[in-house]
Amino acid sequence: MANSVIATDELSLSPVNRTRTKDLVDQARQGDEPAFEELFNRHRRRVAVIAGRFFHQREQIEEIIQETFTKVYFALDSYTNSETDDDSLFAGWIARIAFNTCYDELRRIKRRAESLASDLSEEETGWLEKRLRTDARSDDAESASVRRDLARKLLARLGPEDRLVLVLLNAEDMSVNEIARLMNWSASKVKVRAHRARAALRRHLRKLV
Amino acid sequence: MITEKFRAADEHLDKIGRELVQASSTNEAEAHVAASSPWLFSRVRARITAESVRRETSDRWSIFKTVMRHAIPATAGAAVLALGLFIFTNSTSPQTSPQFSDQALFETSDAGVQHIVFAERRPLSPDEVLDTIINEDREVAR
Repeated sequence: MANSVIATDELSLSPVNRTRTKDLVDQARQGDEPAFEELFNRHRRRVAVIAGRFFHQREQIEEIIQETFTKVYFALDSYTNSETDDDSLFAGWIARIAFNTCYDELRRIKRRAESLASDLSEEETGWLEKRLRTDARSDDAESASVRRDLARKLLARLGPEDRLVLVLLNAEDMSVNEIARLMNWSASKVKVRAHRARAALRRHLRKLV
Repeated sequence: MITEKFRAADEHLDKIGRELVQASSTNEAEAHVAASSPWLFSRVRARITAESVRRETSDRWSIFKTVMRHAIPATAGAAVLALGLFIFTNSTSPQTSPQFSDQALFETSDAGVQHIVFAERRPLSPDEVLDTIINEDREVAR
């Protein structure tokens, strides 16, 4: 998992901001609200980044943050406290809940496939044609914006599982085994799903060629 | 040759796909704005409270459902058992004769028809009473 995106609010002014994660979890389990708020403050950005991988509107990201921390609150008892106070362990546990929440949301909304060709703007079609002809990628701001819009439209046509696997593989740089552990799937299921997801993405791209 | 060409095309498409997935997943600015929302924790707290209430109600309802799930089959089982016992008892008990008890009719004390013990449960019809009287008279006449 890309640990670089595990962000915590270092500047939190809460009086419990120097308390160890293990102690905060113990206190939160006893119903200590400031302790839970501190855990929330430490991990909300990471959850927001995860939500931002799948959803692009602020309201959707906020919804995922709320849902994730509600699940975290009720699942605190099931969290196995580490005596070594490994903060990344707790961050990983929250990340797993966040990814699962995103996956549930993707399945819930189940975006219907629309006519992709009619959705594409001239700029998007132009970018894709150019990109298909040449191997070089342009990284200017305008190109990045067009690419992002095109990517969202394209990914919206994929199923929730395909989308999840592609994001975990290509955006989070996770290995097959890490995805398997995260989603509680077998490694072969991840491989098969990744293969199908890539094939689906290629199929949709070919339609545009 | 053709296979290689297809494979190269697939690889090129995979590369573009990967680039697009990365582009779609880069949403740091919006994520930062969402995470910095001032009332976010209050909303989380409100949601936790609502969820607690929902779980409590759901718990009560599930207890009721569990009780009902056990009570309904138990009651139905008891009813079936009672019905079975009733049918079994009726089928095995000795059939009562619709005739009069001979012993009662020919009892030595012979207190009369009014002392006759009827083994039958059903009420006597007027014809049966008349037959009894006639039969008794015949016996006396002999």
